[in-house]
Amino acid sequence: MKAILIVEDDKLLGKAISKTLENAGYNVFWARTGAETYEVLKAQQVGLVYLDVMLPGGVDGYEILRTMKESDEWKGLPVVVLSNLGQMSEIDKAMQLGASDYVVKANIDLQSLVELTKAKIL
Amino acid sequence: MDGGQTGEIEGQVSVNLYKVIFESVDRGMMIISREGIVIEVNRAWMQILGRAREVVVGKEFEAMADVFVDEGMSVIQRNMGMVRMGQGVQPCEVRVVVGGVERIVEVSAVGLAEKKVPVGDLLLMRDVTTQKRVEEVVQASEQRLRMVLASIREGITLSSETGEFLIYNPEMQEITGYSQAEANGDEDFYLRIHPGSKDKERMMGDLMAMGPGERRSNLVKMTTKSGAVKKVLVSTIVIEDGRRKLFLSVYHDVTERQKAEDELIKRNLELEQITAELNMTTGKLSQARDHLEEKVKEQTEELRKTLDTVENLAKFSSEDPFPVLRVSREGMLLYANDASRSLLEGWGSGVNQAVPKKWGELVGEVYESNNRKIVEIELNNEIISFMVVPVKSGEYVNMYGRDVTREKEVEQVKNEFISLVSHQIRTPLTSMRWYSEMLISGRDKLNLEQVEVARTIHETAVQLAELVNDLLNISRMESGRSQYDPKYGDIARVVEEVIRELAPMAEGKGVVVRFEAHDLETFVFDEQLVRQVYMNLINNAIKYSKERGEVAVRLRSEGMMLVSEVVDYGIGIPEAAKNDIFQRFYRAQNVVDAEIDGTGLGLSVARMMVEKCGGRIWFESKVGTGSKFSFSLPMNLGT
Repeated sequence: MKAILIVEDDKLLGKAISKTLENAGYNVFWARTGAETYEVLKAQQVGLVYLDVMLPGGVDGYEILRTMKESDEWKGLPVVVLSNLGQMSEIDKAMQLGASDYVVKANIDLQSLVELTKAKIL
Repeated sequence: MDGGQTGEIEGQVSVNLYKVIFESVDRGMMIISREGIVIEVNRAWMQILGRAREVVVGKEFEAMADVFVDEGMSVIQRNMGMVRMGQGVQPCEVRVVVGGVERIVEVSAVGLAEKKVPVGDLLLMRDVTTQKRVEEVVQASEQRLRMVLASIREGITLSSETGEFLIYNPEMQEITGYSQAEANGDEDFYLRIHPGSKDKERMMGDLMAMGPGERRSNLVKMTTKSGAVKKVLVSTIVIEDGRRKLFLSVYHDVTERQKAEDELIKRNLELEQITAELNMTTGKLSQARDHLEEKVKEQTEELRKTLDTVENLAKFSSEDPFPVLRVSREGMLLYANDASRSLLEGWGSGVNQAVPKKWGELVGEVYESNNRKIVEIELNNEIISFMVVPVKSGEYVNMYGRDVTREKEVEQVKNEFISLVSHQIRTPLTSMRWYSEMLISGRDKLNLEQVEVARTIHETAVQLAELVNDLLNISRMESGRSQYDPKYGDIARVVEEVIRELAPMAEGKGVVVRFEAHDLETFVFDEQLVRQVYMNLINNAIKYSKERGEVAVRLRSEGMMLVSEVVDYGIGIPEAAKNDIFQRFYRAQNVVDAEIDGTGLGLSVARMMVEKCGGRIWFESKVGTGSKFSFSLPMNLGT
């Protein structure tokens, strides 16, 4: 079973997703910043990324997404943007950068997230 | 006869004396014998005929034939013959040429007898040339005078002292009706033609009193033979002919003239009246004109004011600090104010030129739809919002520009603020939602009551999340940042996705959602907006359905519109609520009473989005029976 990378700066939310997906049987890595994200990506073999947009440390989700899509190594990796920014402009931007989905955290139950994970990671 | 014999007297008178008399009379005498031989001629004869005695005496009278012009000789001989036969004859006239001049000679033949035995003829001759000439002249004069009198269009009379008309021309007969004979034959002629006037005697007395050359004129009434009364102007002048007086009168019929004059006077009177009336009218007219002038002045003043106003109004658009344009339905720029300059520079267009294709299409679309439309453009770092207003009567659209840069900035700040706040709210909300969910899913560790509490927290969090969604939607719609962005798409797929997304909710209530779509073509629509409309309507339909109810979603095309229906058989909308259900935050009393959760924003958002897409939304509903929400979308096939 492939590993899942969660990029989330909020501790409570990161913990909730991690725990839920681990309970669902996935191997979960949790990064809080851009730097941590790249470390995990380089070190681990992941099959899916849940990516928050607003991150501390100067590197936001879009930049991570752009870097991944420009890299030969990571560009095939499905990235689901998991954000609480819900404007059309944000969604459009994410989709244009190559996100495979865009989910507003407040609008999804964890159970649905598990379903989505199943569909994305196979 | 021997002229040399003198002093011999036969009877009392000597032969010599006869000879003296013979020679001294002024009549030409010629004695011719019975045999026709000229015996003697006297001196006067020689003078008259211009021939010497010796030429004729002792010669035959017939030999003188060449003396007389034409048939003169035979005329004389016929006369002589008639005298011999004892018939008293008139002298005859013959013509002779004397000294190259033709003269007229009167010849009288006298028979000569001695003791009753005819012995010869005496021809008495007299030169009547001068007399004849005078007579001819007089005759010609008389003729002329008669002609003159006849041709004069006035009555002319010449009366003697006795009142007899010597001259009475045809015109006089024309005037009086009486002929000259009738006038002269009637003793009371004057009284007859001038009744009540003077009789002939007194009349003549008056005339006789006039001196020679004196002239008198009278306008008199005259009764004609037919009884008509005429007015005649009579002028009389006295002519003295030797001892006696003659009266020449000229009668001038002035009846017609008088009538004409009377008429003229009458006409003049009428004219005066008319003139008077005219003057009066002119006065009134003048007054009216003055009044009118004043009115015109007033109205001109008024008009001038109006024109000033109109001019000022006309300047209004030209003075507008923002672009104001008029474009014909065909895309021709008809008017642009000064503030449009930089826009026109960008367009590379001007008045009476075509606007860029994109704008031309927009203008045509707005004109055809007859709905105003707002478009925004960026111009020199400013955002200009154009209200495009169709003017059907003028076959053009007006475009009123407005600088909305500042508004946009405020809007953006507001929007960013809302986004931030929403984000900040959403994050703890997500924690509540997820952790309560985790509590529920780990329920084997909780008692029933604790699971119920966790469920309540979870539901509340979900509601709160929806409220935030709706608030954000409204905020975006109102700020206009949610641009209408139509693309080709399959609307049935969108509906199916929405239904799938809402499936957990429907399953939770045991509600079946059916979807029917017939023969839908792909068309251009804004997927995001339309998705949200279906989302809100189907969500409501499930929410307000009874347990194990049914929801039907039907799509059909109607002309150029796509009509979607979302039908439920649920709680229904009370009559009292029907006017307000599209109002923001409004919730009908029956759903509040039934404690069905909701924000009161879903329908409000749906309507905003439908209208943004150029459609319309409406509903039918009955409490306890259910509701049917319908909305239309233009099936724009794109270009």
